[in-house]
Amino acid sequence: MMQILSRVAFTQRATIWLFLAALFCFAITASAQSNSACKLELHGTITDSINHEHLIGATVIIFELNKSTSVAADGHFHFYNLCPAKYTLQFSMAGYEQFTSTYNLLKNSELDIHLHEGALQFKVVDISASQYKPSNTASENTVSEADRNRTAGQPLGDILKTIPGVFAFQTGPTISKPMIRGMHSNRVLIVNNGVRLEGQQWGSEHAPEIDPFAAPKISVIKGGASLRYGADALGGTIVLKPAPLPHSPGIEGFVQTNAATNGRTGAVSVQLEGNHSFLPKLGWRIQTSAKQGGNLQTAKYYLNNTGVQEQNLSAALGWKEKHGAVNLYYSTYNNKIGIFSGAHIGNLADLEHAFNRPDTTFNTGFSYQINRPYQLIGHQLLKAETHWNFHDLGKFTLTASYQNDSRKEYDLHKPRGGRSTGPELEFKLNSFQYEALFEHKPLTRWRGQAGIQFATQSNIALGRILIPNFRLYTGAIFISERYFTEKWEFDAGIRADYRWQRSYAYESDTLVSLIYSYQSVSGTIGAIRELPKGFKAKANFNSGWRAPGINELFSDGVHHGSASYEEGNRNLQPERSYSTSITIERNTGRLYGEVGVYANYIDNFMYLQPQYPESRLTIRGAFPYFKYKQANVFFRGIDGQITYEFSQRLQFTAKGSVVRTWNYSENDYLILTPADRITLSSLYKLIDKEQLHLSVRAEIEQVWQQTRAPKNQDYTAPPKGYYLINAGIESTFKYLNRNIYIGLQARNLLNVAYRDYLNRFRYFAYDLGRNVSIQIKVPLFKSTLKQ
Amino acid sequence: MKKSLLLLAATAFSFYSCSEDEATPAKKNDVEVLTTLKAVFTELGATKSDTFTFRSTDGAVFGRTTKFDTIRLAPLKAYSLSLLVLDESKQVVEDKTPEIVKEGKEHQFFFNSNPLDLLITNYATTNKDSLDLPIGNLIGSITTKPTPGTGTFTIELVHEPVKTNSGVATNNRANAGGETDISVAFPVIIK
Repeated sequence: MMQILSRVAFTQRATIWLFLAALFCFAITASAQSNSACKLELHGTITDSINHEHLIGATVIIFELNKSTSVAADGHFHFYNLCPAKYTLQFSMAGYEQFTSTYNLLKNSELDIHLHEGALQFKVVDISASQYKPSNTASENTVSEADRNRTAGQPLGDILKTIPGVFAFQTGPTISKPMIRGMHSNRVLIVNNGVRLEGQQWGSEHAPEIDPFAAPKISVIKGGASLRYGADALGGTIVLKPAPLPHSPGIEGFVQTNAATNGRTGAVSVQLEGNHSFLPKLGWRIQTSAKQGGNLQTAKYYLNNTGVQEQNLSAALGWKEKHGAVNLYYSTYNNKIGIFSGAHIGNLADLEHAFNRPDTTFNTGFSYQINRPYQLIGHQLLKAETHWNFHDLGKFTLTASYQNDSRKEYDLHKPRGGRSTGPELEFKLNSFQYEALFEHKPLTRWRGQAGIQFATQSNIALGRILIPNFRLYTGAIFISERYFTEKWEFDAGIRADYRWQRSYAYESDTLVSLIYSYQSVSGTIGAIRELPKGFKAKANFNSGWRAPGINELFSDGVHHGSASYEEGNRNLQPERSYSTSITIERNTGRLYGEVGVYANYIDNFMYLQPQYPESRLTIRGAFPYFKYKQANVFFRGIDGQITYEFSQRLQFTAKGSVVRTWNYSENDYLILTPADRITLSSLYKLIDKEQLHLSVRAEIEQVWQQTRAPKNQDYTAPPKGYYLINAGIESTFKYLNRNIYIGLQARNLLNVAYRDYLNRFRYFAYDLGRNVSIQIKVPLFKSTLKQ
Repeated sequence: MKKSLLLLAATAFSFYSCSEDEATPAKKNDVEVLTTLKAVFTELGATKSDTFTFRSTDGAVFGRTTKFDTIRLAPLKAYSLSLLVLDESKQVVEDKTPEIVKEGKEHQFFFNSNPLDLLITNYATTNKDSLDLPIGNLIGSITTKPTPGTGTFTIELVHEPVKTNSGVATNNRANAGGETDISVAFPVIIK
């Protein structure tokens, strides 16, 4: 039976890959054939001349053709099917004055426009393919503007799912964590506004404390290639960046909303930013968002107590001089998340009862009320940064930041006998980070940076104690350099880290304090080769390490909600990864996208190993016993996204991810390896005029059953595969001189009842049913007009 | 430039002024931890009683000591049973039994004997909550098997059971739902 199943799965998979390959070949042939007279392409980038950041949203107009486009989230703008002629091009961006130039288009061309911020000086730096744009030799993807619009109001984990190779690891429908190429939590680093996010690492139910509304640019660097932010990001790094502050007079702002049927969820974000002629050096921004949702619905029933309430605020203030700037940033994130009552269990017997009870036991209908069990999360970030350009030397940046993370978990159990109603589990984590970064003056073919970092952290654990109090100091030094020619680009970097950690806890009336210190080196080396027809090949090799986290060393107790007894291991040694990736990408033409393959071997990989059949006896009964162990493991896989534009109106996108894992020490698979999946979508532009864009989109999401799961380590077998049909209509139009976006999205249109292997609550209930949502984005003032 | 550095330094300094001291962890926490279950068997008509204890300091900070008694009773005798639930993780031991009884509507003890005739619990002789439904920490009569034997006797405390579900009032744990607070399978020797 098993064999037949896997053969069926194989055939399905083979069909899809065959189909993909065929599509790829077809697309290449098609694009090769389109080189006749009026088939020229004009594409390029618009960047800030000082910091080389892409000016996403900047517009380009060809006056002669009355055509316009804007810089997409990937940093590029594109015109297709142009005839050879002399054109007048206009480049503009809010906060920058318009720039007009003529260009004689004779062949497919790439323009790189550098604009000086706030100054009246513009120049077309280069009109050839040789202009240098730094890029990552590992796979780096940015969530597209279209996907951001569609996923407005959703948690970060769900937004990142739009990138191939990134999965959402869930604890029920309300807690979603990003998983990159099979790794999550403390192997995925989240960098918000240049600061490492501290607080989300320890547990699978600790969702990132991030308001995605506050970050217009979200990108993912897959694998351990991002040296600057830390050595421990063996899975990958997620970088959230705010837009630069405005430095030309005027006030701008917008309102963005999302309303969804499932959970009757509503989210709204308001942002205002400005600069004033009496104080032109000062730019400011303030943004606030709120979200409320009630009980979510599966295809068959409501999930009791799955509401969410969230209030966030961020503010930024910047003072800009000719050669430098000082920036302050503050944000606060406050979240109350209901945990599905049906998933809270006392012991293994309760889990059995949960498997056998009718699914609808916890179908109590709709309510916005959040009862026990729930989590109350508060996160604050305060950051000060200053950077100065010295003409002969380069750019110096100093950053200091403080984070306060407060996590309170309330159990299902009301405390007996009217004792305090405080949380049953509480962490207070305070983190300080300091960085000095130096980017040397751009030399003809060299770019590079070096930096020193220092950080301190303290944790106070209260209530039911799972991990001890601790104090942590880390220091790091890193240097990276890149060299480029017309066709080649190379980068290399090295980083040394030191880490000192001291724990404090009572062990039967004695204060026990243990010191752990670690030091090691990580490095990365890579190359990019420009290939004909706009293709690029990237290769990267890196080696990183990660010290055991506090939970891996000291966890000791029953983990609620997972009915397991988790025991740390004080003898854990750091793990080390050796990772290689090769990426082929193309950002121009009618066929674009990227495909990446990777292999990642990790020595001493720390993981929770089931001790079955041994169990831990507590007063609540016997619990399955998990111990932190180390093993040599291997992750490998392929993921990618390819779009083909059949015409200016019709485009087709295929996205897929395959991850394979192997535990050499146990000769078995690793648990929680994402199942194979593919998403096919097509977009048709019904109206594509300057005043009105209207498009429809249909999507099929196929996820197969995970047949490569370790034996006898899970309570139930991985759930069956499933497919979801999604659809959407979206429009951008001009009304009262404002560019307004309205989108209508439907997810799981057929209301399929399914369970996903990466959702830890799959034991207890189905995943979410149909959801129809509407997203609106409206500029507040006419001055936001970009065209 | 100098000004901004000063500002940065001032900000950095002000961060430091608000840290709590992690080096002095809370010695006792305010969270309830059930550590101990005591089963007190008293032969009907007699005054001498035998106490059998399960104790696990699990949940307290690190380290664990466990006491796990075997229930030893004589054959063909009737006993009354009284259960005590303690929190011994605190410096002053707390008896949780009065709270459980006070909130009797939200609590119920269940019993399971294996083999079935090892200890026969007369569940009808238990104490009741304000809605006249069983609580179970006191049992009027438990009868031991006529001949020597061994097995297990499982005592469970369920928080927020649905006492009105079918069979729950007559010792059916499976239909009760709720969350298991205590589940101890005592080894039993009848001799």
